[in-house]
Amino acid sequence: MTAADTGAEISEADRSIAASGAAPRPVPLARTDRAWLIKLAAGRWSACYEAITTRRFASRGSAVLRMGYGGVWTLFLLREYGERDAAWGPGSAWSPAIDRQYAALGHWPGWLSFWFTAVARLTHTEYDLFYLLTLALGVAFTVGWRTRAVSVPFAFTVLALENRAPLLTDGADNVIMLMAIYLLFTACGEHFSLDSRRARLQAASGGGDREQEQERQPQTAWRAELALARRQMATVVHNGAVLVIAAQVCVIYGTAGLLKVQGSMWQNGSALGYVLRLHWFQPWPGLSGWLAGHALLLALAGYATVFLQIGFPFMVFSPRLKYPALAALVMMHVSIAVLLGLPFFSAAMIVGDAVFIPDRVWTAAAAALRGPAYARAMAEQATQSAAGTETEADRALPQPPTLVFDGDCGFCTSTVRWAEKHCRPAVEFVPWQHIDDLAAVGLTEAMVTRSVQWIPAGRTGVIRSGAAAAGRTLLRSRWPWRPLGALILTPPVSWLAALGYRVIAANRYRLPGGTPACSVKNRP
Amino acid sequence: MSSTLATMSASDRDPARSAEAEAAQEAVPEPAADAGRPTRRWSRALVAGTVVATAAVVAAHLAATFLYNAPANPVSQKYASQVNTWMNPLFAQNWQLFAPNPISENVELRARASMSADGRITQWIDLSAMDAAQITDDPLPGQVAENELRNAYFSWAESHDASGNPTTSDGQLLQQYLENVVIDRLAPVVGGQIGSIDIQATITLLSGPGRTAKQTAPQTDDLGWWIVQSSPGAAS
Repeated sequence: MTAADTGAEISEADRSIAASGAAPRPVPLARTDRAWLIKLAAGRWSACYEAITTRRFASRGSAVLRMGYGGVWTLFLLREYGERDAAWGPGSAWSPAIDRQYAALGHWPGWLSFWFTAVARLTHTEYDLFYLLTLALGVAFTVGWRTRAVSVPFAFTVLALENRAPLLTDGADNVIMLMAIYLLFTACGEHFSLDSRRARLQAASGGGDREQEQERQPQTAWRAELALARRQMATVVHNGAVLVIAAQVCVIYGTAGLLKVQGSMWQNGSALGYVLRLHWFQPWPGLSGWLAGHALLLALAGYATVFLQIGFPFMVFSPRLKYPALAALVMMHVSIAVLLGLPFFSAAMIVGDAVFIPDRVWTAAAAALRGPAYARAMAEQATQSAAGTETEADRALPQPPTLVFDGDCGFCTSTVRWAEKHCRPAVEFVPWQHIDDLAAVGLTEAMVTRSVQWIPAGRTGVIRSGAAAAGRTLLRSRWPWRPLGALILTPPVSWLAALGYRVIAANRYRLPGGTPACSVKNRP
Repeated sequence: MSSTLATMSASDRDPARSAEAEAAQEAVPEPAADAGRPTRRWSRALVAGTVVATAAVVAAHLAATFLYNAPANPVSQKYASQVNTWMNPLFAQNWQLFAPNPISENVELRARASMSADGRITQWIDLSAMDAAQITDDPLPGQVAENELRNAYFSWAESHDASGNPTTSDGQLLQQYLENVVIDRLAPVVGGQIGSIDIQATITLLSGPGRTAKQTAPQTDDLGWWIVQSSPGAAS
């Protein structure tokens, strides 16, 4: 079955579901008359139009891209600070004269030539000031200070500096230049930024101020209307730019993969063996030499790389394949960063991959980083919103997340005591023996005797067990346990952690503090 | 959200179908963040115009990006000039990262100088070893040590024939660049005004399947003496 066939089938199924309303039931073919189809198509179109004009896709994702590219660029400038003159300054081997001749050969429009040769016209002092300005803009863009305004000079300086010495660049520069342009069109300052912080503070304290301001400047009807239209127009452009960024990342992987397929060395699995022996890319010659001796391993890694790169543009469609693919790509880029000495390229690519992470993940990540105080506040909120009536609200006190453990097991109890003392998580530890009705909280005796169980705040949401429960507890602990929790929850570490948890749980009666009651199997 | 992004990349392959694909994904749209929306005819026309313009620009850019990166084919050849005008130099990109085949030879560059004062010829100085010494054990290698000499040499080699004559319009410029790069590395070692330079490239094909010992023996290519017109410091 081809991809087109599958797509047709999915949309056909979609249509029948949409046609039958909430409860899918078979639609008789006789009823699919033309008027109905037209009405359906119009409904689809208006829903789509509604979405692209009012919803900002990857709103937090684009903010992460802003922080990522701004951060990579800033670190890159700091790394090259000592070599800034040799790289892009008046003393560069790509001399100002060469730069001018090269620009003339390009036959570019005048404004582009001016832009790309701007740095070559600077004197030593001017160039040093320009470098500092570029650095300052990088920091301002990263933290999201006046993002809309800063993004323009940010992109200007990135392209001006990079094009000052076109032959010095590698893949990292190429990615950062493209993304600096694309991010201009996104609303990447709406989250995780000083701008959003300012807006929040203003909304919290100066709600009255704004009203006063409105009174002072009575808004005409057309002005208000224009503001509404402007917001929607910005949303449309943002969505277009996010689409271009996602497509660009897919083009990078797809092109790199398809070109490799054509190479005989990637076909016979010898490619990585050659790459590791190149003197140009050997920050750790001992490590490269040792790896180059493992032909079998390198052939497998080479094949995995090619399959991953070609498959990525398709795997992002599948929620199940997407995260393993992204995890594998991150591992690939980390190896490139270390083995080939291309850390900035790897970082730029990892940041680009982040556009495929949905906003709810970023929301959760931000909540986790804010820590226990935030978790407690969220638990209160969840309880308040869950409790509909006054009496219920009185009864249901703020419920933090709960970790249910085995109170009979000495090892488990001592581990929990230790965690309470050292990690101090905003989590309630409850031995399952204290819970009167296990079924009421969604647990069974088999579950609680096998592993620890995690009940989310407000008693709503998915119950997690084992390493996933332990990771979530650490995530709500004080520093430095929080990042460890995040690590335990991130594939591929999470898979290893789950395995490790199972091994420990199976042998817990043997461990310090363990009693015969700890044995998972010998329960009465 | 994930499905939305998947839809977005889908349209890269076929921009014309993006609207339909998006509609399929947006069966249940989330409620809008803000309640207010434009109601007047002129303001709604502004928004609709933005939608059309954005869709057109995005479709054009995605098509150009695809044709720019795809191997040469009848479509990309027919629209080559339009695609290049759109993409160069703002969206120029090259993702041939170690592809189709990675470089499989080590090129070691060394150079010697003839001093302009007394015509004295210096020892051979191993430029590649100087760069390698800087990169080794550095988790964050700098671009000047990692990229400059390699890119300068390969760009020169691609733009010149076997006897060292330029074959492209930027050949002369690239020769000047390689000269500057080499002088930047020689000058601090030899001291004094350099009159001319001699660059030697030792190319060693890496051993591998189907490569004989004769093929993998190092081969030396001397680029000959180049008279230095002006030192790079004076050029600026």
